[in-house]
Amino acid sequence: MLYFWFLLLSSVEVKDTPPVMLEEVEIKLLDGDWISDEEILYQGEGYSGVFRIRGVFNIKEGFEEPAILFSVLGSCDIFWDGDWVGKNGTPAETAQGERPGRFFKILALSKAMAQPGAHQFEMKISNWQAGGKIRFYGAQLAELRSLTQAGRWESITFMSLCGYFTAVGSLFLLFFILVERRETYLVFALLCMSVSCLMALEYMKYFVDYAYYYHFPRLRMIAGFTGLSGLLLVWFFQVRFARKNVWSFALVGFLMLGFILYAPGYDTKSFLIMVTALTACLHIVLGALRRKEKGAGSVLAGLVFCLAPSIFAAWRYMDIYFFLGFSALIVILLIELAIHARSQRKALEETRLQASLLKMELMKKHIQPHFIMNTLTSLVEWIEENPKTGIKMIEALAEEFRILNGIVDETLIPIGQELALCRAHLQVMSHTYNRNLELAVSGVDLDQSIPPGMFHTLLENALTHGDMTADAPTMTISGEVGVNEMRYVVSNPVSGHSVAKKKTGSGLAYVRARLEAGFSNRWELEAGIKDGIWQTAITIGGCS
Amino acid sequence: MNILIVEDYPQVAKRVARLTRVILGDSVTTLKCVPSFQEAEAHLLRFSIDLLLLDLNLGGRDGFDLLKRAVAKSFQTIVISANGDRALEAFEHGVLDFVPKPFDLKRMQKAFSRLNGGKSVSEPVRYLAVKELGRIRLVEVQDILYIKGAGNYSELVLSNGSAVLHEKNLEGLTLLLSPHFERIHKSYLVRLAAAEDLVIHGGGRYSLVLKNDEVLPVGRTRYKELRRRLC
Repeated sequence: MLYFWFLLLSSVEVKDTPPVMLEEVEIKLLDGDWISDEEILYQGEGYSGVFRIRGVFNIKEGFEEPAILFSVLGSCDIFWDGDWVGKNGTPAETAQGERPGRFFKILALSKAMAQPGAHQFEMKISNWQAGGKIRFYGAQLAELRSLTQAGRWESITFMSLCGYFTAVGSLFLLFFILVERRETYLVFALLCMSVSCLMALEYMKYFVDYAYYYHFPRLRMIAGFTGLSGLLLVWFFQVRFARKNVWSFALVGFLMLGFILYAPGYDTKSFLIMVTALTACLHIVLGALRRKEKGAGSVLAGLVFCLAPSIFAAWRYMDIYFFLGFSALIVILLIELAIHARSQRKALEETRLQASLLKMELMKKHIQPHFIMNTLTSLVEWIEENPKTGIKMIEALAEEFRILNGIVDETLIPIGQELALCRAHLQVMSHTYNRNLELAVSGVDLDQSIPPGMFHTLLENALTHGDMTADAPTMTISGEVGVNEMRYVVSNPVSGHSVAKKKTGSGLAYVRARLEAGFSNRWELEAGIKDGIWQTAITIGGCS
Repeated sequence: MNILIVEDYPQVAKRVARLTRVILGDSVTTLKCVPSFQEAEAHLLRFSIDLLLLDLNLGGRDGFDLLKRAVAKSFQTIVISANGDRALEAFEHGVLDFVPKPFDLKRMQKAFSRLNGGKSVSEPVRYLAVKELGRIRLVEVQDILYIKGAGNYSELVLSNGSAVLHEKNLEGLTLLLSPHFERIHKSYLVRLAAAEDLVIHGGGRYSLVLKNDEVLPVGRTRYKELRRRLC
C-alpha cells in the first residue's frame, strides 16, 4: 500500500489537491458479514468466488478531475455512494463467465461526485483466476492527470538502466564468444542480462496493463530472477577473485531455494535472497582484500554501497535501493573487469615476450663471436694442419647445431636431450682445446624435464672460467631425488685466479630466467666456490 | 724479435704461433704463449718483448685494461680478437693492427707488414697511453705539437707547453702516428697540422716553424719529403 504513495511521489504537483486514501476497509465473503480482518483482506488464501470490499473516502478538498486508482486481484464492479460507476473486467458467479480485469485500474469520476465529504466506495469482485488468493492492494482518489502520470520518472530511469544492462551484457557475451573465452566475461554477461530481466519484470507494471491473473506468475518470475541474479553475482565474485568453492556456492544456492519456496511474501523472498547473495560476495571480497588483490578495495566500496540501504529499507529494499546500488556496483565491476583484463593481457604479453627473448638468448649463445669465431679459427687450423681432425670437428659442430634446433622452441626438454647437447659441445671444444674433455653424470633420471640450455650454460661457464689443466672431468653433474623435488649439483674445478663475480653473470641470469619460465616459483639456485670447486646447486620442486 | 702471444684457446694460440713463425722466420728470437692476463703481466714484468699479440676477450673478461697498459709500453701491440666490436676503439688507443678471427696467412702478413711501414690514414690514433704515477693517462694526439726522441723513450710536447714521457722510441711512435705526423729529423716527429712555415737557411740547413712560433730543425735528407707532405 505504501508504494502507492511512492508511485505518486513524483507525479503529484504542488498545486494538486493531495490524494485521499481509502479508509475503514472491510470485506464480506459470500454469505458472511462485513469484517475488517486484515489477514483475509490482504493475504487471503483458499477462496475462489465472489466477494465484496468496501471503504470510505473522506474528501477534504474538491478535485478538478477526480479519479480512483485501485488494484485488486480479480474482476470487479465499482459502486460509488451506492451507484454503479464502472467496472474492471467483468465479474461473474462462475469461472467461465468472468472476463479478467487489469491489475491496475484507473476510474474517472465526475467533479460533482467527488465533493468534500465522506463517500462510500464498494467493489463486487470475482477472483476465479487468482488461484484462491484474495489480494487487495489499495484504492486512492487523486487528480486524474497525476494518476496517469504516476511512476513515469521511475519507469524512465529504470528502463534506461535496464537497457544499459542489456547492452553491457550483450557486449560481454559477444566478447566471450568472439574475443576470449574468459569465464568472468560469460558470468558477468549472464549477470547483467539476469538483472536486466529482473528490472524489466519489476517496472513493466508502469506501462504494461496486464490482466490480474498474470500477477502471481510475474511475482514468481521476479523471485526466480532474483535468485538467479543472486547466484550469478556470487559465481562472478568467486571467479573474479579466484576463490571457486563448490561447497559455499551450493550452500548459497540451497539457502536461496529455501527462501524462494518458504519465505513469507515475495518482497521478503527477494530481500532475503539478495541480502544472502551480497553477504556471500562481501565475504569473498574481504578475503581478496586480505590477500591484497588488486581492485578488491573499490569493489568492496561498491558492495557496501549496495548493501547498506538494506539496513534501513528492509523489505522495500528490492524496490529501488537495490537496483540503484546494484547499478553502481555493476559500473564498478565493469571498470574493474576492464582494468583487470588489461593487466592480465599485459602479463600474458610479457610472458610471451620473455619466452621469445629466452629462445633468442639460447640461439645467440651459439653464434656469439667468442664461441663461434674461436671455434672457426681452430677449425681452420685443423684443416690446414690435419684435415681429418678438421672434418671430425665439423661433424661435431653439425651435431651440436642439430640438437640445438630441436630444443630451441621448447620450454622444457628431457634431461637426456640436454646432456646430448652438452656432450656434442664438449666434442667440438675438445678439438679447440686439443685434449679430451669429459662430462661426468650420475644419479640423473634422463626422462625428467629441465629448461633447455640449463646445463649447457653451466658447461660454458666451466670451460671459460674453469681450470682446464686439471685431471678431473671438465664438469660433473650429480642428481638427487628428494620428496617432491629433484636436486642437481653441477661442479667444475676452478683455478685460483678465476673471478668469483660469476655469481651474477649473464649465464646464471639466463638459467634463472629459464627456471622461472618453466617452473614458476618452484625452483632454487645457489652457486659459489668451495675448496677450489665451483658448484651450482639447482633444486626443482614438484616432479613433472 | 721477442714475441708474446696471449690467447686462451690452445688451438687458436697454436695457429697464431705457427703463422708468426712462417711470416717472421728467423727474426723470431723468443715466442711465448700464455692463456691468461695474469700470466701475461707476470711475463711482461720479467722479460722485455718487441711485439704483443693479444686476444681481448679472455675467459669472458674484457682485456681493454691490459690493452691500455700494453700500448703505453715500448713494444708494439697487435690485437687478434673474435669480437670486432671494439676494433675502432683499439685503433684509437694505438694498436698497430686489429685482426679479426678467423684469419689466414695473408691477413697476418698484412698485420706484420706494419712493423715496417706503419698504419694507414683510415685508422687514426686518437690517444697515446702514458703511464703516470702508476696510472694510465690518455694523451690526446691532437694536443701533441711534436715528439722529441730521448734514447729509448720519447718526449711528447703538448700544445699547452707541458711535456710527457712515452716508453716507445721515436721509430715505434712513427709506426703508429705516420698518417698525420712526419719524421722531420732523427730526433723529431712533428704533427703536420702544427706546422706553420718551412724555412730555408741555405747551406743545407732547414727549419720548421710551428704555429706556436717554436722552431725545430729539419734533417737535410728529410726536407724533400716534408715539403711534399706540407703541400
